[in-house]
Amino acid sequence: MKLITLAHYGEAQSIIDRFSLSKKSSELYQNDELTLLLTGEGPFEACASVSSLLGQKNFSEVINLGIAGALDQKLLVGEIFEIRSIYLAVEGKLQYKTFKGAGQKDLITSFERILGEDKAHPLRGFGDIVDREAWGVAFSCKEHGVPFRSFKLISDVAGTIGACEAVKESAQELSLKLLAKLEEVLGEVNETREESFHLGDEFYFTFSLKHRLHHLVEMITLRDEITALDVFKKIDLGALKELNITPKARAKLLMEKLELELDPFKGKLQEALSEWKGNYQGLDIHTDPQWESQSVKFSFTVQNKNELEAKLELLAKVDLEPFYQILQGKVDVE
Amino acid sequence: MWNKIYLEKKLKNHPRAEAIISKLKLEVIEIDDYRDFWGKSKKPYLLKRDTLNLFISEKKGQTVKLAPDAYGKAGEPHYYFVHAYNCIYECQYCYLQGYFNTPDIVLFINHEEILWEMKKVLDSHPETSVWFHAGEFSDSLALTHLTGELELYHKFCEENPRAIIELRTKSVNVKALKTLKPLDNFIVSFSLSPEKVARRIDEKTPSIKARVKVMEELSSLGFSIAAHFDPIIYQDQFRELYKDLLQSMSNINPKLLYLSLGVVRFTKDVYREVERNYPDSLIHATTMIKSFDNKIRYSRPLRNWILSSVFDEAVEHGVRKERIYLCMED
Repeated sequence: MKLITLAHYGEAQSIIDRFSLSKKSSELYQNDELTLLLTGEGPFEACASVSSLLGQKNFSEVINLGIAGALDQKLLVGEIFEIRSIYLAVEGKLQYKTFKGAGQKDLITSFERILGEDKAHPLRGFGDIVDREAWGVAFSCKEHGVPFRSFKLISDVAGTIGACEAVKESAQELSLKLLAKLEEVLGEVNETREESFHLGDEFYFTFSLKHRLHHLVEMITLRDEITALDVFKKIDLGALKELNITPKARAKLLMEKLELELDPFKGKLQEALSEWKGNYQGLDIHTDPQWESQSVKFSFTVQNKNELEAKLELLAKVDLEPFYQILQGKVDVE
Repeated sequence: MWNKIYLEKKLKNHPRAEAIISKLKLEVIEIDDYRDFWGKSKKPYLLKRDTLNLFISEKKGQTVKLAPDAYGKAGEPHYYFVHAYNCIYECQYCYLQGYFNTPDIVLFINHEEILWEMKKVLDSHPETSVWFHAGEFSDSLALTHLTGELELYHKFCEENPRAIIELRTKSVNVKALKTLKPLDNFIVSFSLSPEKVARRIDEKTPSIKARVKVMEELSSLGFSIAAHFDPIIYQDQFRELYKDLLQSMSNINPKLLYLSLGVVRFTKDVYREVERNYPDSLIHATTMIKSFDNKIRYSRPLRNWILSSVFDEAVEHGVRKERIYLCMED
């Protein structure tokens, strides 16, 4: 269920008619797929009414539509834009919190009506458009973790006298334009960016391993500017498939190969560390897996006094210098 | 790129403000104080691409500040002076994206006050040279064709031989600089990366080839030049890439006053911004961890290996060993 918000009935009338939304209250209209809320004018009014509804029901997305004034004088009355960022201005002063969208134009939601050029002028460096609600709706959506989009139809030039009257006169026409935009937005096919890897039944991945697989492949594609397919060619996926091992073991091997491909340096470090630890068989040596701390922890188990003496003797022989050399990056990499 | 100019009313007839305005030919909005607008709201960093505002202002409060430890060559006091906030370039690792609330640029034009404070600082260290770095919060040459302040700082160095000014830049905007007399204590330092890396992460900056060419030009004119390989970003064939870079600098390597080396690092907040602004950046291709000082870095062995590899290559290519220092490293 999507929630559509507009400030006034005049803007919403065509949408209510087109989607046959039934009236639930003076502010709320609904059918099986859409809920439409009239928020009233002003950012805090919008925030309060949207918050109240989001607290009662789950919505997949909130779409804010409405008319707005142009701060950028190049924008034409009748044009409609998706919003990119939303600022709040109170008494002409910008407030800290800002919201981001995926659109093209920047919007200032003003606490007061912008009725004079003196009020509009200082805001021009920050926004192309000014409205009275979007910031409040965006705030509420952010608080409730609901995706938000906003589309604004230019109805007048901000700061011009008589803007309100002009809007009232053409309410029907503006409402039809908002409806057309909503239909376009609802008709958009959602394209998912996620690329899935179909490696076949020869591999078995748990959910978290699959997530890690995607991450590793993505990092290699980023670094080498190649496709995921190229990554799999590089590590010879075909040869892995030929191996006579279980799908789980094959997946593990694939992950190891990818890790090494992404970070060959890490492989060299592990090699050097294993070689150093190998000198002290019988002692469990634990080092920081992040390679940041130089602390080393030793542990061992003994069955009798002789074993204890032997282990202590081995412990006394431990030379930490090779480990510190590894930490210093003194490993044979190339 | 530029959107509007916000001008503090009291600077309306200031010749420096007039010069900037006449060159940019943008709509000017007069305001009382830049702080009423600049950074008041959180402006998304990438909006700098098409709606970058320019504020012309006077710097209030402290204009010269003590630099953090390991900021420059050890042994002498280092300060930085603030004559601008933010930058026209868009380097994907830049800490400015998480430092201010806005990418909008502020140019402070009360240079006389900044210089007066620099003199005070210099006098407080009567026994030693004092370093003053420009470019902590902006590129120090990129906008000098608009701002025209270089001459003042150059004069300060001429009159105060104990003062050393370092102009840090990625720009090749050296026309104004070349009209000045080279001074030992007026240093131009260039930030460089291998071309292949710079093309991917130093957005909107001049090419490395162009930067190296300008370094050669300035050096042949007698200017003191230096270089920063900072941040160094790990990438496949990384050592080869630095070899090529140093090879391209072979004419200037022996003349470099210093070369600083620093491996890429972020505070947590800046790293979050980098992830948000540049999710497909090369920066994310190598695993980073929270390090000893809570900064996000490569693993300790990797960064040590990177530093020693580049150090060795630099020496191999003619940079004097004692002139290489590690910047902001543990």
